[in-house]
Amino acid sequence: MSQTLKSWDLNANEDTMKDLYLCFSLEERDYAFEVRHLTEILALPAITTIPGTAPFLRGVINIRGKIIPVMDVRLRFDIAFKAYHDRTCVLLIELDGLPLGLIVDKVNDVVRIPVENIDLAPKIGESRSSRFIYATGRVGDSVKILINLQRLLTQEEAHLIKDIPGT
Amino acid sequence: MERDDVLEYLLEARETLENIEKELLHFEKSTLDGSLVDRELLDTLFRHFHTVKGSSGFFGLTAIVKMAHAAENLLDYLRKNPEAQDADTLEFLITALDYLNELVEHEESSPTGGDFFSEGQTQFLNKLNQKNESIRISLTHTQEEPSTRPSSQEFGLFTNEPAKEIPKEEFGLFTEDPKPKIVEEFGLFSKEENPSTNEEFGLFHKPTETLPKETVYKQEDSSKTEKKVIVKKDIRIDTDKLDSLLDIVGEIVITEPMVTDHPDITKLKLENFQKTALQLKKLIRNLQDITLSLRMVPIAGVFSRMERLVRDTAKKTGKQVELIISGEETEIDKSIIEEMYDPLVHIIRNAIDHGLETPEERKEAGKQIQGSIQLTATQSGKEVWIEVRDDGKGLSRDRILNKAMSLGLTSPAEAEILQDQEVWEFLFHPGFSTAKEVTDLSGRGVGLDVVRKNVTTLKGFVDVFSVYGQGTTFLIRVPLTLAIIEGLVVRKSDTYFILPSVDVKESLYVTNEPINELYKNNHSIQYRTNQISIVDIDLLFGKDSDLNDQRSLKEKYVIVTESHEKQMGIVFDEILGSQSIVIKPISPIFKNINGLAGCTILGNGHAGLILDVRKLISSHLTSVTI
Repeated sequence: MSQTLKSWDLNANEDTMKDLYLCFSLEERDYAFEVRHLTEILALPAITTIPGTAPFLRGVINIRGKIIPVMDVRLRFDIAFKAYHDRTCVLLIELDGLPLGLIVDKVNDVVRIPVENIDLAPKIGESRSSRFIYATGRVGDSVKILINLQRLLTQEEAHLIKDIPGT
Repeated sequence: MERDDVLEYLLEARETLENIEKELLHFEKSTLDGSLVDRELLDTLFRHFHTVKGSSGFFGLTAIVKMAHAAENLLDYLRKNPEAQDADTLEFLITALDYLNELVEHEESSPTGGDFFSEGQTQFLNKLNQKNESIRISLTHTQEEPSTRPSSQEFGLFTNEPAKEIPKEEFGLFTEDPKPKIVEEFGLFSKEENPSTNEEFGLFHKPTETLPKETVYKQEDSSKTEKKVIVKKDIRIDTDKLDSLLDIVGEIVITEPMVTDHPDITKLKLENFQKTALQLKKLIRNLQDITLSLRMVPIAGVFSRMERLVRDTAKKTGKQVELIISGEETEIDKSIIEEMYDPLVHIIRNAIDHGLETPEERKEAGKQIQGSIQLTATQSGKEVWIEVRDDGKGLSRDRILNKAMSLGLTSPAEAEILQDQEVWEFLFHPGFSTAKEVTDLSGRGVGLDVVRKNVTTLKGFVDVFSVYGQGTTFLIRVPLTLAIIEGLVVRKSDTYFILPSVDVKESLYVTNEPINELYKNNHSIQYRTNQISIVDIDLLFGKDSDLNDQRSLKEKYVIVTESHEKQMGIVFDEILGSQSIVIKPISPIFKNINGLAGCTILGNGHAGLILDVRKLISSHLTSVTI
């Protein structure tokens, strides 16, 4: 059910971790974020909705006795809601000690994107979701959209987290 | 020096100081009849002060070293010259202890390099040193001790008078002359066994097997063994570790039925498997009980701190008070114990100040001159009952009623028919005690509203009972632990909610009850003789109420909740039953959610939301009026 990253984590030192990105897809577009923020990839467990919160905060899930909030990344990016299915994943990340689950359609793989292949994003359009994007990364022929995990939380919530690179 | 190390040491020092306080009070009690203090008690006290001095020196806390050193000197002279003891020397020791506490506290909150920070401290130290000096002079005169003895054992670093004669307390680490080891050595540096003490600082010291304590200290055996029961061996644990242990055990408890009642095996006949599964179930239950009890500590720590309070308050008021403590081994969640201190101080201080009579008054009333306060803890189900019982003059119904009427809380006609119990309730009314005449005459009530508030936040209760002329009893009831509550699990659509059992008054199953819509989002039903407001849980979280769509409640449940005598019904789809709930905090990402007290994990693996019923009721009823 769950696939931890611990096994290869042990062999990875800070330098090799640095260029590694986890890729996932939403609506045929490829997104990626630094793998060091990731703790675990899980199939979607039952979600308990919390009344009175933003729609993109879907609620909380129970991961081995820990209660962890989950965010639907589609809704956060203003993409229409899509019903969850067997392949829906939760990416468990930790930002400055604060655990968060990201619900995404499909997890692809872990790729290495060296710094020279990363281009800081110009101010793209007016879309609200553009503020979650800080750069693009070239991997072979394709381009991954690099997202700023910290900005997934709203401005007011961002004070809870600090020291995320690329801000 | 790492700050963490210092803090950890200071915590240790606090414990030692607590022990000193205990011993000093024992000192005072045992010498009340004019008898000389026990040599062993002096030794113990000396050793405690010595420990504080030695370790503080290591951390460079010079003020503490100086103070402890002076106290140590005084104790040493007392040992050699027991007849020099008087109330004065005891007072010196107690004051020195207070200053040490002050210094330790100061060092914890605002580290300044370990020196004195107030004039009072240095003045007192000088006074204490003078006292030591005068005793020393009288000692050398009476005992004719050779004043020419080598002073190489001095611990010269911090003492003002390097020529002083203190042969017994060298800090062994720095002494050049490893002189005869004496009974009170600080065990860390001692290689020899100390043959005459049975309370060594055991961490660093090998037990002394050859100790003939049964014969020598026979008369103290009873008190010693009694104490040993309470002073348990313990270990300090990071609460984060403890919490993750609780999480994992909680998860095991939830996973167990998922495995043993797994759908894949339910149709199979597996007799042996069932047996083993049952055994596993039992073990897991035990494991859960033990882990939950890890947060529990005996209440003795707080109780023993009351000894000092009683002593000081009795002195101040000129009354004679005996504090009788029992049930101090009762265990209770550590976080609750910390919250119990203030309410207890309040109640006990009031009991002495206002409840107990002066010795003369007691004589007149035909009572013993010495008043008594009984402090008792007992476990009763999932609650701990803490009782403070005094044998003083009791509450005066008339005076309390007069005061209540003057505040407009009741009328003369009503006052006539009130039960005593209802009269005592006025004492908990905010502001009731501020008026001078009540606190001075009938006593009680000074800030009792605050006491009740503190206890209520712990989901506990305070009650008072009194018989005029015979005394007053305060009974505090608190839950054993805050991490676990009893709750009613309910469901609304896909979401599970938990209502704390204390807030639930009644649950009703309604098939076709008419509901009155006063206006949109505001409904009420007939409950007993009243109309009470009923809401849909969604409404409380800012959505429209489902009740708007239907005029009657069909196959729904209404849970009647109550807070501060205000009632409200909340509608749910299903009631799953009552169970013990482990409270877990809710992520800070969900901010501004006012009605939730936390989360929990239910037996089915779902996360459940614990409702903060008090907040829900007060925020709903302020927005709506019936």
